[in-house]
Amino acid sequence: MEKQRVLVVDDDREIVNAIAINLQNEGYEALKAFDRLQALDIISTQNVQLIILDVMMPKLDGLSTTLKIREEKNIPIIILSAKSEDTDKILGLSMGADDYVTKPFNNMELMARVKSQLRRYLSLGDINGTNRPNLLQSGGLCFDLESHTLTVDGELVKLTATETKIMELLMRSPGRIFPAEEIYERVWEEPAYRVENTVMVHIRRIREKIEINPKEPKYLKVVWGIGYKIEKI
Amino acid sequence: MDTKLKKSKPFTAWICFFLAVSILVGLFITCLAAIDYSGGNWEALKAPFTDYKSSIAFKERTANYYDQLFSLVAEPNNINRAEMRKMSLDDEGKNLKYYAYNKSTGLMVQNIEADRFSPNSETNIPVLPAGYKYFWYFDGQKLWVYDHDKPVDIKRLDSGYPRLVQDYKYGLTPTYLSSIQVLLAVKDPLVKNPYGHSGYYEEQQLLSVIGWIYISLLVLGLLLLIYAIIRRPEKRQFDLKLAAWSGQMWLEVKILLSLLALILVAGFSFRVSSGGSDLLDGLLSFTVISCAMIFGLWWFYLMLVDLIVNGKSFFAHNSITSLLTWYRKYEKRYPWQKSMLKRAYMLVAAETVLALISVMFLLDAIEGSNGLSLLVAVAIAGTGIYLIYRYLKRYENTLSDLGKLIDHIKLIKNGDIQNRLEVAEDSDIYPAAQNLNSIQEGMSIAVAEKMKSERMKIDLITNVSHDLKTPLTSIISYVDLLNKEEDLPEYVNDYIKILAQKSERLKNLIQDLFDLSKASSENITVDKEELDLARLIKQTLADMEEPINESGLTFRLNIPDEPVYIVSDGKKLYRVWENLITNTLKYSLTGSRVFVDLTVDGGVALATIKNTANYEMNFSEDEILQRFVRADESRTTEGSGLGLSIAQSFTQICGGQFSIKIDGDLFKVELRFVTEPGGQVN
Repeated sequence: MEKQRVLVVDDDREIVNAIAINLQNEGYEALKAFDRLQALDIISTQNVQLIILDVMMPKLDGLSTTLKIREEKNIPIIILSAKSEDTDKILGLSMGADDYVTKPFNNMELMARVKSQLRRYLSLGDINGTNRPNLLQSGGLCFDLESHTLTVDGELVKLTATETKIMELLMRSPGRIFPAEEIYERVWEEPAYRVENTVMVHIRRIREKIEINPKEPKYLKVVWGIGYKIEKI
Repeated sequence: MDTKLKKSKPFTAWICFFLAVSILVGLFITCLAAIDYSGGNWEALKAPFTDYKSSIAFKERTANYYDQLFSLVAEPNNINRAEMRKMSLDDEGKNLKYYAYNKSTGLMVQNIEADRFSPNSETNIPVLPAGYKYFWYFDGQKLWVYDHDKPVDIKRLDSGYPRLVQDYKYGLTPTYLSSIQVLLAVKDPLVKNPYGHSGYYEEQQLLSVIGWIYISLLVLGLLLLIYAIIRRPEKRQFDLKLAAWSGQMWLEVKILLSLLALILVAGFSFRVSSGGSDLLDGLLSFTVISCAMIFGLWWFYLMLVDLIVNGKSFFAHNSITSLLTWYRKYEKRYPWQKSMLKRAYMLVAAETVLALISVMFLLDAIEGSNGLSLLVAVAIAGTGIYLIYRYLKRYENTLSDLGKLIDHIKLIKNGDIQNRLEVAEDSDIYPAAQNLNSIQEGMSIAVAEKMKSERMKIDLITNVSHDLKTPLTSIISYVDLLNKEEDLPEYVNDYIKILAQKSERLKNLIQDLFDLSKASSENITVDKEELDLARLIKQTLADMEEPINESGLTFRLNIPDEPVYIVSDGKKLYRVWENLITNTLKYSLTGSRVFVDLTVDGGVALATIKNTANYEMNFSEDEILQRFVRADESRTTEGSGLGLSIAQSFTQICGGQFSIKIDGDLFKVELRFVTEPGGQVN
């Protein structure tokens, strides 16, 4: 199988080199670009499967480059940024980026995200092709109602029975916030009394299984003071 | 040069206007006077342009000669006078032929041959030499005046004769009169007398010149008037200057001068008609009179302009107000309270003096029933009342301004440093108001400076933390790469571990710093929604279950089962509780208990977290909240030292109150939020 190509764009050469080494260690082919023109040139001439893009390059705004790439290609884009505000993340994602990683980042986390994005991109056809009604989906998250199994970016996640029930409940209405009591009553099928801790423990465990960075969850979120939800993506 | 021209333009325009109006008014007065003088005789009025002989001046002169001739023969007692009279008659030379004869005394004066003087038997009118077409003839009973062989009806009013001619003179009896014969004939045309000054001839010359002078004056006046009308705006400018100048005069001076001007105008207008006997004398005195009149009229023009331009201040600028203004300037030398007191004393003193003077004049008025004294008494009393009115009015204004000042001080105390205190410039409070305004200005500048420097500091921290992140990314990345290297000696791996730890800590520190600077500049987006504070605390504790269990501390919770609804930002409140719990875990005495309580009282939710410190807290509540202050001061442990500061800032931007209490080893954090009554979580 041919090596997957990942393009790294940042004006800081050392960062680009470090990411490239890590990508090569993971078995990818890394392409380097240090400004917008180089990046656009490589994208148009070579077959690239993923782009890691810094949004604060001096010669261009990474966001406008994202838009430019999105006009032609549907390849995944991971944005790198020193801006850690929620608003910046939302802006980046709404511009067409698939993921948002803040600097300074953890190499392992970045590689995990690259892997997950590539898996999703390459298996996209499968998911779309098997558009079955008994499949609950949110982003890369897939819950099969028949087999009661959960996959993240195509990879199977091992869940306990309770965790599976919780995920089924949440995945049935993505975006809806469930209070701990409701989750408990519907999963355990017992009257709920002081269950916040119990539910939270399970939620935390699920997060550790499905999230790349459990501290900054992408799918399973705590809505502080209200409840829990699966992000609707 | 340019400015000079500009300056002189209004003056030129005004002078043109002045001359035009003066000339035209002068001419108008002259016309009126001439009509009056001529008794409405159109021929006489036209005389300057037609015939001198039809003018009143000619008739007056002739009547004068006639009188002289008459008295020469009627009362020859005074020889010297007679000689003088005869000389003035003879000065006329060929222009005047005369003959006077008194039958009873045989006295005769003449400059024509007697035989030539023989009345025509038919007409009983003397035959005169050729060229003498105008004559007066008294035949002993009646005066005849002939012009070009035609008798003139001297009784007609419009002939101009009646006021010149008197039938009976010096109380002479008709019998005596009947013996007197007088003839006086004037040459036509008049000629120059080389041996003396012919009054007739010179007057004729003068009259014809005057005619042309008047015509040219009329033309000049009209031209100037047209120019002045075209240059109206400039003229108006000079009017303003004049008004400014006359505005400096006291009202009293204006009234006095106006009265004088009125006397000039009115007084002289009665005298315009009574000119001298001689045309030239008459003209000169007439010119003086009409100039005075015109001057008077201009004075009223000035007053009118003054009144229109200056309006109220025309009346307001008088000796009393000037005195008051002077007094105000004088009292500024004293401290405020002293000058206010002094003013009251001065009023009492002035009132006393005025009352005394008024009473004196009143007594005088009663005693001598003197109207003028009464008037003066009333005027002085009026001045006294006016002074009291002014004082009270000013007192009222001062009080109202003082009220404004007090209100404004309160306003500043409450933090308004934008609005200025506006007080009239002549107010007693004005200096105080100015001072207050400059204090306020200083404050507002200081606040603005402080805000600016605070903002700059925050911007700096934001930018620096952004800039720090880029090299830190490289450090972390390469440390990580090093970490993956195999075949490194053990001690190098230890070094790398330290690098990894410290770069991780640096990362957290930078993020905390960034968050804090954002939060304390309130430059952060807050997503407020209704949430259950009780649930949030439980969630946080559940989320941090692992480190709590590891710490060996016992958490005692006293949180109600029913929801406590508040409106706030859940994510940020989570950060607050995370920081508070982390802080507790770090600085609590091993094996001690931590108490987390939540109570609701009177619409306020109070959440507290209490722990026993594992060190002596030798600092105040305020000090611990200072940025970078760490409880143990050693700065060797993990953490940025910003935890509590971030918790405080985030609580505040989430709409809560954050306070710390230290009691011995007890460390207590209190959070207060306003609850939402009967809220419903979706």
